[in-house]
Amino acid sequence: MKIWHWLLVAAIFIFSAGAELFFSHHEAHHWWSGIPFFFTLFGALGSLALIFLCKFILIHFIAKHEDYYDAL
Amino acid sequence: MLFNTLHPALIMVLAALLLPLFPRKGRAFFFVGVSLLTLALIAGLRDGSHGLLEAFGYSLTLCKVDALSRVFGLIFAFVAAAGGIYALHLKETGQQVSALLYGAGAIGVTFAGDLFTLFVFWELMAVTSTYLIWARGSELSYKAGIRYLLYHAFGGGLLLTGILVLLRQGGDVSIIRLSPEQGLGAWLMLAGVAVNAAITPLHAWLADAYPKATVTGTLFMSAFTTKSAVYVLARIFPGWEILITLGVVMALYGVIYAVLADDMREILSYHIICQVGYMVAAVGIGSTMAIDGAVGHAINNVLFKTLMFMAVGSVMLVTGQSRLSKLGGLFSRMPWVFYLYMVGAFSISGFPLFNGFISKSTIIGAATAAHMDWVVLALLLASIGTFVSVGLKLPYYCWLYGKKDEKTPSVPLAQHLGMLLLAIPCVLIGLYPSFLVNLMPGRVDPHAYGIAHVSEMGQMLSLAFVVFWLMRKKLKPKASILLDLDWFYRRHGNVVRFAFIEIPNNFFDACERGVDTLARKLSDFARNPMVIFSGIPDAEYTPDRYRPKTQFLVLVFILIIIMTVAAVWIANI
Repeated sequence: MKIWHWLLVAAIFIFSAGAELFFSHHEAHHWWSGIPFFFTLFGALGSLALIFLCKFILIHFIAKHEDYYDAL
Repeated sequence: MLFNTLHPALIMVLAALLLPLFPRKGRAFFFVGVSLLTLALIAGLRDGSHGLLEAFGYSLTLCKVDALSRVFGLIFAFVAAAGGIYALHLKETGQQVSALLYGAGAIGVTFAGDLFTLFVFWELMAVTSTYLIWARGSELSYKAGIRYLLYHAFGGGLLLTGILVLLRQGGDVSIIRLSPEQGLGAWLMLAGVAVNAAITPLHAWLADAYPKATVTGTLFMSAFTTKSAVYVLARIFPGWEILITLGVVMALYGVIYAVLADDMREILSYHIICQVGYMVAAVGIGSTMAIDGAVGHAINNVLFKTLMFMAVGSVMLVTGQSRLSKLGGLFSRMPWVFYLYMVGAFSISGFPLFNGFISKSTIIGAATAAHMDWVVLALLLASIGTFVSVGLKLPYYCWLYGKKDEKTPSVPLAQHLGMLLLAIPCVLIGLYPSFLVNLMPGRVDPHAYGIAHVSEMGQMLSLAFVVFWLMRKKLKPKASILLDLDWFYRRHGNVVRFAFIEIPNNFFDACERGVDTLARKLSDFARNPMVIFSGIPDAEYTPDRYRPKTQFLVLVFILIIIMTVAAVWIANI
């Protein structure tokens, strides 16, 4: 990753978070509407949870060697 | 007038029959030309019913046009043309004919005005798409094709049984909206359609078959089968609440497998399940906005998913590899394939400025309007997983990770053109959502570029990127296969085949060999009984062969004389 890549990601985040903080006045459609930066947390925790859940499932349940179905 | 008398699907069937008569070099261009002609025909079709006929006591409507069927017809013909341009290098007539008939099946389903016509085109799709798997020519693809065909025969059987039960209950052959209260017939039809839509738990055929089809075959398969099933769901089953739960399960199930898979086409195949999950959930919500979301996402999905299959297909064609664990560092050899793939990846991830953002926003908006918070969160979580798997993991480990590959040949221009043809509408729809909205049956504007929604997606996806980068080693692909629900019939199918086919086969083989040996020995014995003593099975019996030698006879004769003389002499003593 080059520095400008990180700067781009940071710019997207700052723009998004700033837009929510200063310009977004949406109605409370959901229970999370009042929680500031809810989707920052959701994005971080969601992707972390998915990666760890997937690894757990992969290691313990579904990964098999490539000729698994030809073994019989 | 001409437009309304020619059925677009029948044009493709006729073209498939004529294609082998063209010179080999011109067939690929003929394929593209026919797809473009079909596209023009569909664009010119007026709303209403065309091609009415009476058969078997039923009134059949071969072609019924409205906004819903037209938009699906247009996208199927468009992707056939784009796929044809991508496959200009292809010289296999069988694949070209199958792809045309497959397209005819998808377009025929789209415009079918009655259940029998729908069923006929439904089965045409099943048969012709199977050939696109077998055309790969490997043993794996042959077996996968058999499983695919059996699965779809099962799905077709459910659909036909449902239609017949519905008719027996006093229903009509015309295609109308059904409700869960209409009983067994309607539920059986839903199950039949669910097979083609790859609704969990009837999804396993998809990730089993698509990665084993030919490169161009997968393009058409990813566009036609599941999307035509989504069309039928939107047409017949809107508002069935069970579809909401099933759709959400599909979205999460597909994305989890996509994060884990090693084979690029398997990753994209699981993503079809994930994205069709969005559409199925939207059909289940059933509001005008939700149906527009489902249809819009189906159209967008055909565009970006076919684009992504084209990009990984190009990687496969030049490297011969489809597994991420065996790829890497390809960026320098095919930068434009990477960029075009990333247009598809940003689109499917729901990035603002790309088409997936528009249709996902419509579906999320419909779920919000229906006060289904859990559906909103689950679908947003699936979006994160989508970005991690096909937006980051796949391109990173295919093009960017590892040593620069300097040996791989470059990708042909025609393949770039095919991809570009699909990438342009991905961006155009993202920038001008009205292109898509005006084609939708409900024409509901989702107002996708509201600050709140753009801000949500920006925060989520930028954080997902950071987490991926920090955790990328955990997602490093390893050579393996993933067990799915096909385990039940593949693993145990081997046991059943061993017990009921191989053991009896071996027994009968042994019996046959035993009887054959016995018959041969009896035959030898009949031809030459002396074989018992000689042990020479092939020898014919000839008296001379077994006649004693002269010396032996003289010796015996002398011995007899000597013994006789000796006996007489002894008797005289």
